Amino acid sequence: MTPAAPSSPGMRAARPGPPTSLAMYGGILVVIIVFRDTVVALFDVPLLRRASTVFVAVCVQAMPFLLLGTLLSGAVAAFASPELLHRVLPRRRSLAVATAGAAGVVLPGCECAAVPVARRLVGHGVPDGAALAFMLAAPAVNPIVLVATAVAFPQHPEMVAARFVGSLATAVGVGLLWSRFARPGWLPERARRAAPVPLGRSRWSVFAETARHDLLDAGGFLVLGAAAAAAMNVLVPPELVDGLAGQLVLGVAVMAVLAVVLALCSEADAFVVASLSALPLLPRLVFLVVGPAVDLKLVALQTGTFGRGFAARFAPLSFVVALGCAVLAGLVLLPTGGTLP
Amino acid sequence: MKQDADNLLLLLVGGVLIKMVVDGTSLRYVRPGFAPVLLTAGLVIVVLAIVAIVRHLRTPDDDAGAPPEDEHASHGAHAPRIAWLLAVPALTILVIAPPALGSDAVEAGTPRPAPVVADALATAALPPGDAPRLTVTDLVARMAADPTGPATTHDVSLEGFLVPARSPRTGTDLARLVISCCAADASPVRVHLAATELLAPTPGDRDQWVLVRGRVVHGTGTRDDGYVPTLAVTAIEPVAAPDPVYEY
Repeated sequence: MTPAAPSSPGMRAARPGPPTSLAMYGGILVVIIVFRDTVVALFDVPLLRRASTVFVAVCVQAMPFLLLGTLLSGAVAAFASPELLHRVLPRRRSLAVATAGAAGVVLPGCECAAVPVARRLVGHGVPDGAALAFMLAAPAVNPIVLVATAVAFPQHPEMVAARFVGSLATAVGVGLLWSRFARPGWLPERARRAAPVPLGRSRWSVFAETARHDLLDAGGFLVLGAAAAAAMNVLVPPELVDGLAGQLVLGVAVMAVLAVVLALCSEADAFVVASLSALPLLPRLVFLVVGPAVDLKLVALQTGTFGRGFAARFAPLSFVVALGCAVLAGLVLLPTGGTLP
Repeated sequence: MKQDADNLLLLLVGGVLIKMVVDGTSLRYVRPGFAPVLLTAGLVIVVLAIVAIVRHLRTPDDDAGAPPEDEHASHGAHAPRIAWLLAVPALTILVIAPPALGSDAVEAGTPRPAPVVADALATAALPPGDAPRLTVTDLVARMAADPTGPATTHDVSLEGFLVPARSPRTGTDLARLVISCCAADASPVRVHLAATELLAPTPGDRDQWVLVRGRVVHGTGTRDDGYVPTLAVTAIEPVAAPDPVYEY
């Protein structure tokens, strides 16, 4: 434990703090251990049991990817100077956005990884639109996702192309729209702040501290998003999807909303959607393009990283653009415009 | 003080991830292939926490409020409050240990029928043996590819749990849950069991795991019956739940 600092004028004495988080932590732990059997019995309702299994599964599945994202953001903070990024990105705003979108190909993984990296890019002076384009592109156009889509739709390889085009168009579209129309205050200043570590520390120290800090920052929001997704997962009735087989417009709308609400990982959503064999291809494509762009997990992470004001504008924007790009990509690239299963 | 609590939180999270892989409970939630990734993540988180703790212990004078650290401390004050939510899944795993999804997920919740991927494997010959073991997914895929395949003329063995048949059918089905990424995308695969006067799932919480032996009825398992082949059962015996519980 730290020794009490000597007080002197101009320096605050080390304050003991409120009954500290540590004490609270210990207290809760004791309560839970003592009442463990009651807690377990409470959860024995099938619905709660399933929800808690799904909740834990989503958290556990996402955590390594979030960690990867924070490690990368730490690397950006520690090893990539703002000058380097400025040199690599084209001067023209629109070209920078397009380049950033294409760069999304290199970051494999869940959408959870992209948010901390985007935040660091913004902190390093990358134009907002470009950083956001990267954030949207990375989860959707990376090789793992494309391969998974190809495996899940062996009879419809055009789904891979449609997904790639739709997602890239979404990323670049949102990035360009944001560059053109967003007011400066919409991305709060605190999100731009560089890693809060004093000078004179080694690069590795900056790396570790940034990663640790970002992990704590984002982790709580991930859990929030996972809880919402788990609740939706057990509450959405099966009949909802069964009834959509014949209706294209309704199908597209429902699948778009389901993509947001079910918050599936972009590596797995292709398999889930491939199994809905009665649905036409177009609504299924919409699910695949909208999901990695906006869902409960992402909204929670973005709220935590960039603030509520940002998320309140960015989420609807990405939803509308993703929906539009998916429908256009589907009508153009899918056989019979995706109107058949 | 706050720093310590943060780092303990990270230790808890990392430690739980490591524990899950070591004692195998991760299989209830994610695929077996993901376990090394989880283990690595758990170790990295633990290392990050330890590095921070060591650094914190080594430089106690930073707590006295030197200007750069002040900003860090006040900025750090933002993170912890919601970061405490990280404790929720960790404690859930330790205290409640949510079980793998089972028959209630098949009957009551999942909106998706099973994936049917008719690839080369589906038309391959059956494995050797008197009544070779197939996964339910494998059998469903084979029947979808060819409803007159070898499983209609040769006994096969399947392992799964009993659920009531999907309406409008009556009777009993044998089911398994298939996951692609994690338990959140679990989808059921079913095989309808003929000759079910012998068995019906008894009400109760435990899943009834059985090993059945039989032959697929000719022409079932097509689009018409929702890719649920009918198995004419010749033998059935209760078994213990397998580990892992899911098919992939």
